[in-house]
Amino acid sequence: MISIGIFSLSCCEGCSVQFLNLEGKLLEVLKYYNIENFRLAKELNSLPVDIAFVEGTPTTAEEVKKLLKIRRDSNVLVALGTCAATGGVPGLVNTMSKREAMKVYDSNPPYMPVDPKPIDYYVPVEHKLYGCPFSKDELMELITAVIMNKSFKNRESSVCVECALRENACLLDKGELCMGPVTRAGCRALCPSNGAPCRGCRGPYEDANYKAHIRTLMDMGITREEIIEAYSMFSYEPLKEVIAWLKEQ
Amino acid sequence: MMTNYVFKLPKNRIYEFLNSLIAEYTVYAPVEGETSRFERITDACEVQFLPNRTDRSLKSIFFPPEEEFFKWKKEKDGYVVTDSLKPSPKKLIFGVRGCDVRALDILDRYMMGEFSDPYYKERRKNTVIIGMTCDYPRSSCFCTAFGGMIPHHYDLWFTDIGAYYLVEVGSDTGMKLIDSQFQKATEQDIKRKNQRIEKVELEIEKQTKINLCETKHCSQKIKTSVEHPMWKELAEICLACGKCNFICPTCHCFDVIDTTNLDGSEGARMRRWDSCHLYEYAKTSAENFRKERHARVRYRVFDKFVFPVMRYSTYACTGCGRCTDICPAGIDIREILREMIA
Amino acid sequence: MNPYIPNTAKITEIKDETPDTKTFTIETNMQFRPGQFVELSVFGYGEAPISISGGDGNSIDLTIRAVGNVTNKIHEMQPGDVVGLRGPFGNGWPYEKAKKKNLLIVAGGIGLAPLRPVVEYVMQHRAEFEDVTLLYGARKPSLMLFKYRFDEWAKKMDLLLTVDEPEPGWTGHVGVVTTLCDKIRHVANTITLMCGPPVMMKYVSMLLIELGFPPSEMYLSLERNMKCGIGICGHCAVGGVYVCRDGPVFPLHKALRFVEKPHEVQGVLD
Repeated sequence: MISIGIFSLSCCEGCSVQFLNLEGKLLEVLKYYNIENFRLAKELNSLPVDIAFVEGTPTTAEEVKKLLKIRRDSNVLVALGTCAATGGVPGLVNTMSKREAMKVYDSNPPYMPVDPKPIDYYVPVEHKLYGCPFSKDELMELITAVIMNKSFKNRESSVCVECALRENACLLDKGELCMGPVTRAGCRALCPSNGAPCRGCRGPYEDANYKAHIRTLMDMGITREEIIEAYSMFSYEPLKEVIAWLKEQ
Repeated sequence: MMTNYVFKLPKNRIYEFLNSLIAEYTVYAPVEGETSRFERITDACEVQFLPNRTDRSLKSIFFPPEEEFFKWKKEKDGYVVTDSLKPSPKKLIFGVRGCDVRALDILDRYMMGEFSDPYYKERRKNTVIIGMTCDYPRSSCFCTAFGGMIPHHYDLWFTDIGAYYLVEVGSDTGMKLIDSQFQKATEQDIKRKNQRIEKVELEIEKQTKINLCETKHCSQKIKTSVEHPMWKELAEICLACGKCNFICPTCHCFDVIDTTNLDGSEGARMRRWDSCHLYEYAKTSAENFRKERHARVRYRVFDKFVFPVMRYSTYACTGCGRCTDICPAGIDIREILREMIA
Repeated sequence: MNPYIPNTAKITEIKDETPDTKTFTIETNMQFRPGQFVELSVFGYGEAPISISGGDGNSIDLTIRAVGNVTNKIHEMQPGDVVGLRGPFGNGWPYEKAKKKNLLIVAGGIGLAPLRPVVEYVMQHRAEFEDVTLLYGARKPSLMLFKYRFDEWAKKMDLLLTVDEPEPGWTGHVGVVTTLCDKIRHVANTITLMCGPPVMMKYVSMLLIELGFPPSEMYLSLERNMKCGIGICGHCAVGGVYVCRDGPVFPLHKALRFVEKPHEVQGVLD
């Protein structure tokens, strides 16, 4: 049996829920895996574990410590979902000044806040499952890879590729701000296949041609501000430089 | 063609004719959806009579985006492999345009010529083609650069000449489809058909302004432009999304993917369309042989206009213009060609 | 017959070559030409193109370095385990052209594997050839393949060995393969067969041309991402040829004229 834990840092816990969304497959998974630690689903939780799935990203010093401890007590650490993998939505706070950001807390500011970063900023990470929430297919791929002792690889192509494979009509053609061309594949183009433009929740991929994407969007009449917002939504941390460049245009 | 192989069918009899075909064949015809494409129809009233080509080509009927090769299962003494190749029904495709018929000819050379693909071959065999002349071109069309709207091979070819369809017979199979509803065409009918074709082709030529018919010469010109600065300029704007490959009626690259259950006791192997624009396309365990985007952009153009000419003496492009229509970055293949062969 | 369906075959023997390379003997009546390759399936792990490094009609040898899913898994397998084979694919070495001529074999690292059937052919039919030289370089002595055959081979041909980094006990030459080329005793009338990493083939080609070997008599084996093996999937295409079908062995003068110059010869004659 492989022992696993699902841990939460600052996030919406949607990835924990997504884990439970495996439903029938979860029973299949439990034949090989033993869930030792899963606050959302279990009362008694323990460490160490063979594989730690960490969702969210540390936003306080306390959480950084928690992350370091999880790393110490696990053999394999998996960044579960975009917040953990790229900084995701919590990273949005880095777009504003600290003073401005603290306003939302009113008279109850958090104790020792830290800037949200991808968790590999603090600890080595073996695997990343991108997406908000992550893709169940990819999780199953990873789980199978671990059982069979083979490598797990993230896609190095864009959502556009998967969208085109499903022979969808292109949403850019319809004038939508679609992040498909710069977003990492792996979701089987879930949103565009259902008529909603890609929001880029899986973050950028290695070969993304940002300048070409931005040029295309601007040619369509989409404003710089709208593009900056779309780029910042899930990927402010990895795309900081692109966004800074865009602001200067 | 001799006049006794040219017929005409009153337009109001087309539904009756199609339903008689449906009784005998699995019939595919243009259907309008979010994108227009060929789909299986079970009643003639489902057919859309479009003025020109469909958004999607015929490719996925014969070579679907994903296809299983085989399943395997672990047994006590090794593995049992079961081929997923299924017998395919007799197909008839109605309303195909010249570009797509020509594309099928090209795809045949890749898949059933020098090398043979059993899955494609099974789907492709016994396919009857009923083509149709376009009423007017799309803005991206440039089939005249490759010889025009009417292909060499077809079973029947329909051209709208007013109250009738003029019907040309291109094969014995086609001749067998001619029943009592068809009338002999007159000289006048044939003249009208020719005028019709001339008019549309002239329109296409006006918007194309390139002629690639001198295959050897043009291909040679493109071949010598390996170092052309345009490749790097295109690489700047190309999104490497692979859409031009997937939409192309002659692109036939695929990736091979293995799937298994959790413990690896059974699984399957399948293929999925792949694109030469993608970063991982030419990667081996040791090296990535087309890491730079400009090399990938160039490769696709060469693989349409240079390599197939060297190997099969034909372009792997038919001027359907789908890649131009679908490119999110607005790359127009005609502009590339004009630049190369200017 | 469906070319995409692998035949199952049993591993009968496994021999350690280096810390990361093993030779697997697999039971099959496959007939092959030296230089051809097979598509090896490890069920559940995928498929990989592997050169054939030997065989006798009842079995073939595959010399495999553990670098990916398929190759890592087969390294864990035992005699009696079952794999899948498709092939053989490719054109193979034109070693017959060297009959009554001199033969030069240049190999780097794992590149000796596809050349071994030629070497063994020479061992059995030595009289058919004039001078024969085998030039083999590896990163370290411990990474050399088929070391147990070297003494035999040295009896019938010039065996020139070199390593990039020596290890204790190594008394031979140190340096890249090109530093040994001046020890080749025959230039005229020589057929050269070459396989190794792209940079090695590039520099060896350059040097051999300088020494007077004609490019039309030099053959190199290209390594690409062969997936289907039958010239359809497109992954191995380079400059208008399919490496899986038209190659993997090409005469240097042809490779130099590919529309898209292969990495292995970029810079040669430029």
